[in-house]
Amino acid sequence: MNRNGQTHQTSPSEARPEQARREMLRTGALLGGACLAAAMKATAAGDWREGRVAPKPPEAADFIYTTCLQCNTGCEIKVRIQDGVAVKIDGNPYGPRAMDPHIPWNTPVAAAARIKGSICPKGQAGIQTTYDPYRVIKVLKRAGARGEGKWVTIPFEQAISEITEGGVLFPQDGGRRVTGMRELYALKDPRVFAAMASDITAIRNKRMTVAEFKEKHKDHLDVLIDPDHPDFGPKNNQFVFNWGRLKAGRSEFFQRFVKDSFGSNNAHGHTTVCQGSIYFAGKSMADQPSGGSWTGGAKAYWMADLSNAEFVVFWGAAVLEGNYGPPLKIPKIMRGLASGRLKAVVVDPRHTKLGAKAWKWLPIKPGEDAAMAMAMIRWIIDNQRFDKRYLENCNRAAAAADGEPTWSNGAWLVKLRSDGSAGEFVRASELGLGGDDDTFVCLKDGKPVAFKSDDSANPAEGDLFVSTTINGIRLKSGMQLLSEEARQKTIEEWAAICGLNAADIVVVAREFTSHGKRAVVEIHRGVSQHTNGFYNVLATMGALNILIGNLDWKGGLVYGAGAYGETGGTGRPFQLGDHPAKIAPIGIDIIRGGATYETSTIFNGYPAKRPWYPLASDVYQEVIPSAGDAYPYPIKALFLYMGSPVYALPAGHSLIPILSNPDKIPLFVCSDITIGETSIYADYIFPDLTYLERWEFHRTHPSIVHKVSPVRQPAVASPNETVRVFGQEMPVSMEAVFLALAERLNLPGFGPGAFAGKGDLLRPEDFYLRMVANIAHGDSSGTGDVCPDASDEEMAVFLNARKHLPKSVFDPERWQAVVGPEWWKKVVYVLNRGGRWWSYQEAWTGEQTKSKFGKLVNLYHEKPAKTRNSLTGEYLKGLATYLPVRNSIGRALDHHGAPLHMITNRSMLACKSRTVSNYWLLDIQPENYLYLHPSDARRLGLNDNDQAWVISASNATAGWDYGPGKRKPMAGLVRTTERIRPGVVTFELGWGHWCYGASEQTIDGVAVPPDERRARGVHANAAMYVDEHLRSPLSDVVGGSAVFYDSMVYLFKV
Amino acid sequence: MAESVEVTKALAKESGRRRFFRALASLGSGAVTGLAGVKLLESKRAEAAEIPPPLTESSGTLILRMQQELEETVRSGRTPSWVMVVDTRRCVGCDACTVACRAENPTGPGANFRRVIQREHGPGQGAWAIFKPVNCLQCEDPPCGRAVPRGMIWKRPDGIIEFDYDRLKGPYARAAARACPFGQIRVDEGKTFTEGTPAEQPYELRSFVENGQVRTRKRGAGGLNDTARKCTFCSHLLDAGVLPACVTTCLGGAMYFGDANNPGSLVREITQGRRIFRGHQYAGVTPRVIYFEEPMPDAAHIDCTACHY
Repeated sequence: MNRNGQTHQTSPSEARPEQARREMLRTGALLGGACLAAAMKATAAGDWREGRVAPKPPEAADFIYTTCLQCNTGCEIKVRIQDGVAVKIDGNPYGPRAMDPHIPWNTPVAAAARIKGSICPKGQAGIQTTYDPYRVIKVLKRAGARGEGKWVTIPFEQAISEITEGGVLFPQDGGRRVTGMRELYALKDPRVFAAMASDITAIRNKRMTVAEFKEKHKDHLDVLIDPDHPDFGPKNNQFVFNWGRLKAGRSEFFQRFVKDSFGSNNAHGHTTVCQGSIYFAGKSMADQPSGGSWTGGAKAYWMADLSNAEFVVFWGAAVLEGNYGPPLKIPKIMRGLASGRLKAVVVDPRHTKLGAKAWKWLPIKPGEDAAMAMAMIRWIIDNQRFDKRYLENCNRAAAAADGEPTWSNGAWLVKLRSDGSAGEFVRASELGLGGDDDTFVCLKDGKPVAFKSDDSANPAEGDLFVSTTINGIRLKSGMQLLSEEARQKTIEEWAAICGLNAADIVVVAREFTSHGKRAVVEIHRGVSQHTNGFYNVLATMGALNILIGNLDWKGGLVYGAGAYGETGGTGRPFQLGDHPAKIAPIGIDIIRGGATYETSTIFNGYPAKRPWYPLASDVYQEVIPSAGDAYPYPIKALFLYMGSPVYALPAGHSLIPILSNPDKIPLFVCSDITIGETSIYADYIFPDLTYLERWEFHRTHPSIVHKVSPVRQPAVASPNETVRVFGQEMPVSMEAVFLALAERLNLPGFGPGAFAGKGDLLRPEDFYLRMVANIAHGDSSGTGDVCPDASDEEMAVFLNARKHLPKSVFDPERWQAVVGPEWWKKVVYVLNRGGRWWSYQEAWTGEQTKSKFGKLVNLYHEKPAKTRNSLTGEYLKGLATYLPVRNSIGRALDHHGAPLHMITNRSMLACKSRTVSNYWLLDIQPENYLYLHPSDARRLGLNDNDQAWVISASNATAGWDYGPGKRKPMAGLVRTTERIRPGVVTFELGWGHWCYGASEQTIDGVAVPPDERRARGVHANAAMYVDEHLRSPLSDVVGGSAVFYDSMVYLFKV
Repeated sequence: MAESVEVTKALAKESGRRRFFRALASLGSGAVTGLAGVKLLESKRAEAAEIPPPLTESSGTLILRMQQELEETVRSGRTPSWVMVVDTRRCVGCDACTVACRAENPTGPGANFRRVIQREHGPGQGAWAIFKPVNCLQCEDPPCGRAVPRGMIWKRPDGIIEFDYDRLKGPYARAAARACPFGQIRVDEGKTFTEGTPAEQPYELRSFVENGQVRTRKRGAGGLNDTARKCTFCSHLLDAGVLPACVTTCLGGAMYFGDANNPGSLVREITQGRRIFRGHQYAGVTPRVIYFEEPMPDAAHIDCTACHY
């Protein structure tokens, strides 16, 4: 110690540490703790309490209750503020996601101050997303070439002016003229939009020719993108708004700009990079017959009621690591498993953390999920283990008689085409039984019975397995067709395809059919993110669950209870849709979502240049490649909000040449909190607010059985520069950008009188506080559900908790004026709790969930069955089926002999592109790994902790070439594990960054040095398969999923 | 399942971990002093040779009950005997506690008071993994206290071991850290996560209470660099009637906390008749962090015996 030059305050008689340690070892071995106990007593009895600071119990005003956004679960959180700084994030005990069970909503906030819910590590580290030293806080304009990483800061007003007016904005691009937003705002009159819309429909239905259209609209042809293709719509559509993570509130605000006011049809989300094919298969399952077609299905899906289920097959769903989401699901799963109530099976190439707790692990071969489902279906049908009583019900009346909230169409009769393939449902009228286009037929005791699906008076029950001919029409029932699909192979053959033991599958099928309604197949991305994703979903989430009829039952498959209607509706005080001149945009969008190739004016045989998605929308991987191919038309401006497709999409490297090319995307504007892997190509970056600084309404998702409306509200001040828009001061945000553009373009729907004479929209709170008031109003149109006023004490808590917020963020007088005195104290009541939701017990009624799907759920899907694949020209299948993995034009993938099947996985410590700034998380896991089985490592000559290049048919150079002279090598550390299927390699998403603070950026001529911690690890998405025909990421051309799990790679030791 | 346990036992035989514990066992057996509160929670292996029936399911994490018990204890002025009970079956290795700990008790890179150990092994479909959260055990008879001069480390009447941060510095800090058989004492290097970035962030330099004193990690006089630090069961929260951060945030509901002196407490109830891991006692200490040693019902899940024979 003297060597270290340090002194200490102990007396010389006290032992030196080294000596003390030796002493301890010696005496410890002999006397154990006895001597110490004596020593401790001497001090403990003394003065340990002297000079201590008095404990300070937490007070209600120490917290702001808001909503997490570190992933898309959106857990309710309480943020502890100390000296104006967010220092600790806990679960909000009022919230159903963050506390199990959550405390009553009417608990006084003072009583809740000491109670904490649970929240995952990412959620707690969110402080570091906000307090990130690499945040962009001023508007940046590109100073070099795209991707070069050279920027200048410019005033907000200048950026808005340049984007609006266009011109030669980037002299370094060789004198290119950029088209401004003013020029793209070509068609303004909502009536012309409406007139053109009906005539475009007429062209589609062959009731009008293009020439007739041009003649009729000759005064407005100049506003069209291409008068020879009126179905492209007006030039307004050349403004494209694309987002990564966007929730309600902001969604309505932004779409109000893009669609309602500006009139572009191009507002596209990112759904397909997450689990698109689940959503769109779910939508198809939920579609209802209407006027001869199928509509009404929502973009949603089903999950398990984990609070009550007895048996759950978690299939491609890593519920203890990611999914929807850890604080919501894990407590229910773990209490179920530990008590013996719940038995779990993991179907996944990875053992997953749940594998450590589950009854069985079935290490399935990636992409062959439908084969296992078909084996289960075959066993269930062969052994009569399905719920016959449920499946025979053909309509509402029959279901009601059995106490079933839902019914299916497995007994409905389907017409066969001449080649024997299944097509549309036969209508009663075709068999001479009368009825309309929605009157269907089943066979009961050999006789055809006509019925309507939603008929609650005339029950119809049908035979399940029917193959017959009536009036010369060959007919089969949906169950018959499903049975034939499953009987194409034996259980052993199916098992061989998916790489499992037949016996294991049978055991799982038996158990699945041994718990009545309290068994569930719950799936997630592992099932859907394949080229065959849509049909994998129909086979797993769809057919298997329908076979046991578990929908809407306690412990069964649940649909989620939704949220309170923040945007308005009957009886609610504010209608956020009010707009003085609302446009309904027209024309095909650039991703061809919900559009049919055959009826377009550019139909030119098969294959189409790029896929059309009649059954999907929000196809993330199509936005930038479609702009690159100018298909169906070129775009002029792309605004990207909170998204990083280059990082997040599989084969995201295929987007870089397009984003780098100003001829393909002439104006590229990003809203971001850092310079990320995609915003590095931007012409302008507007700083956005982080989730702790802003408003949003996270609503719900499929597994929440409670009605929930968590509110995201400002908890801390933003570091962003403040700007003035509509005379109001506010920190720069995406809202500020849209408000400023609207002000400059004089767009209706923003500014004074924006709500059609019922209020102004000058700043974000004008929108969002009205939404909070609608939540406060509740469900009913009367007063029974209206929330109470905050007490005087709670009003004081509200104000005290926000003392640190500047007036540009929190202005109580103005806030009160927005909603008026009638609603103000109710709004505070909601905000003091971070939102509103049902009480815990309210979610179930008897043996069923309170909120029910309560309708027909499709086993057979007519809409797909009459839709053609736009690339192969073939009809799609109308039911669960096994399809091998194929590229967009139906060919087998060519991996150039690569030996390892690469998949990805989530660690709870990272959420794709946006958590590498969270140093607390990096401290636990500084980098990610390439996990593979020891047998594969031996075969490839790899050992633990070797660095290995990831090489594939799509990326022979093992790297990301992300800008002029810029390259990120794609190599990661090898880690062997028995907990993965041999032949499979996986890596955790979220590491291996090259932007987001991981590379040098030059701002105003000053180099900002990178943080090497943010560059560690490997992001191997650039080794994922690039579709040969599309030259963009592999896609499920039916359900829209971006394909993460169908690539093969080489690993080479560095 | 029996088969997989056999396999894991065979594997464990080869592990250095096991040798470590065996060595400690010979070093410290017989040293178990068993003070009143802790003794109540002990359960002899022989008594629980059969795996007890599953615990009945209670909704959620029982946070509210623990919170009520805590507030009642604080109000009563009784001296509690705090114990932490970990049901490793319910630990999912998520590290929520690791981050909660660090946000509540500011620490620098690599210096967290709590972490989660993960062990795994094969083969094939019989692969297993186990997660075990660790922090200071608040030993009844802590080896760290023997390694430094008297008065630098003390035990509160409720059993929490506290450090004198003004004195437990430099060589003393390192001596205390080395003395812990479980590696649960950190010497604060005084580093922040955002130093060296474009802007060091204020949340890292906030003031906080630890061992009864207001502290900050700001460098300079009164700072904590070169000081031995460790888990205090969040004593600054307990004294104010709030549960420790790792307990409230536990997603799996693996964490229980309460007063072993209170016969009606959840920690007493939850440990009644359970198999309790006794490896720490073999290392010569009696811990206040009690681990269940049971497998999950209906699962190929292994228990503590996978590593600790």
